[in-house]
Amino acid sequence: MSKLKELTWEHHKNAERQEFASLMMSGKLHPDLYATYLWNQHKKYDLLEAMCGAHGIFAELGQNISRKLFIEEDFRELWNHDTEPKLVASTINYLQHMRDIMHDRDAIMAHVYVLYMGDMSGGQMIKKKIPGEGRMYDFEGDIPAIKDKIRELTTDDMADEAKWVFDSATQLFQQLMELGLERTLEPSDTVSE
Amino acid sequence: MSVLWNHLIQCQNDIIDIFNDQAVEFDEPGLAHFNSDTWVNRVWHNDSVRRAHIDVVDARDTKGLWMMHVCVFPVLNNNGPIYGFDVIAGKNKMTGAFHDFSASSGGEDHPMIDGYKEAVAEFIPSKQRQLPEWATNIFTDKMLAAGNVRTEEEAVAIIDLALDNLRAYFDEIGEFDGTGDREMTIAAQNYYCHNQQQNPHTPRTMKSLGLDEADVDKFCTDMLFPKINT
Repeated sequence: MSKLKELTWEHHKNAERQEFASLMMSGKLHPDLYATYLWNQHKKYDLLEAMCGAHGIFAELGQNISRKLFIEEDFRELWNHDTEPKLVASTINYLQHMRDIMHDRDAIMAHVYVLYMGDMSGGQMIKKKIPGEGRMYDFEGDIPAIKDKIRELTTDDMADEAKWVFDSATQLFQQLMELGLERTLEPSDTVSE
Repeated sequence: MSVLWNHLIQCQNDIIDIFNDQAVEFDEPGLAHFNSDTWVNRVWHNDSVRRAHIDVVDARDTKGLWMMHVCVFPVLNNNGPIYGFDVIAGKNKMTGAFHDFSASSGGEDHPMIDGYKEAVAEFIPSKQRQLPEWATNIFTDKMLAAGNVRTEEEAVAIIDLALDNLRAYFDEIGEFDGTGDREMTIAAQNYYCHNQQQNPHTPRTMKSLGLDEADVDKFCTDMLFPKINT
């Protein structure tokens, strides 16, 4: 069994410490901000899942855990503006980074480890707190068994790439907070009585 | 009528002739929905090319515009590049013309891309226009990107170049059968499609030509640059 969890722990925790991550767990996250997050995630998952298909990773998992259609549905449920949300720099960087690693199956697997394990772990709590249905966190089948299978397919050598994915998530969280969108559904704390 | 449109429609016919000479037309599921009097979508394949697609929107009567998209993908055991040629034109000028041999699993140093770069060298201005990220992710540094082409001479030169390169593409692509790793080629072609799907101008332009919005959205995802699902 790989020690990927231990090897990436600091980077994982750093992502979780971000203000946006706390907002997601607060139950007060503004739908527009969450939808913007979903739009950025959709771009990443759409490409990652195309690469997983190319390398047969979902076939090896024995289950298609593709999220992109669910993310799109969640986004459409919440977004009612005429123009699409902004793609932040970390998302654009992610798409460019994929060009460098698209032929490296192990690197793609590191992305699967970080993103899907997150959706199947912390994501199950996030689902109860975020606006909308949270379809992207609904997985068919036995989640613990899928997670075990993902762990089986990972090695310690994937640690550097997994850290990169955690850091990319951290940047996404930070850059979403810099967009100047409404953050919560409640009145701002700065408003005087 | 318009001299420019006549040249472009002749170009469309020449491309269809090349496809007919070099490959076999096939019925792609779902594509029939995107064919009408003013919207043409046809696909061909052969032993070296899995999909050669021509898409023409003829909105001359309604919007004063004509648009063509041509894209050719090699088969999955072939590491050759992806051929692309797009043009949109009003009556008197090409508002945009784009042409490239974009890297697949053979990378940007592929011999066919070297040949393409030589062929387009004199068309590429020394000062290249700034391209968005999705474009720089996939196009070579010698992509032909022309805007506001007003002279017949320049328009014909671009059309001839794209046609010559298409003939050369079909002449050469078979030499690279068996050179591509299937997984790497799928990854590379999917990467190309993903980035093309990020081009906001494509659906915007097609909708502005009067095509149904829902049809355009579905077309751009499923038909124009379809990813390979394995």
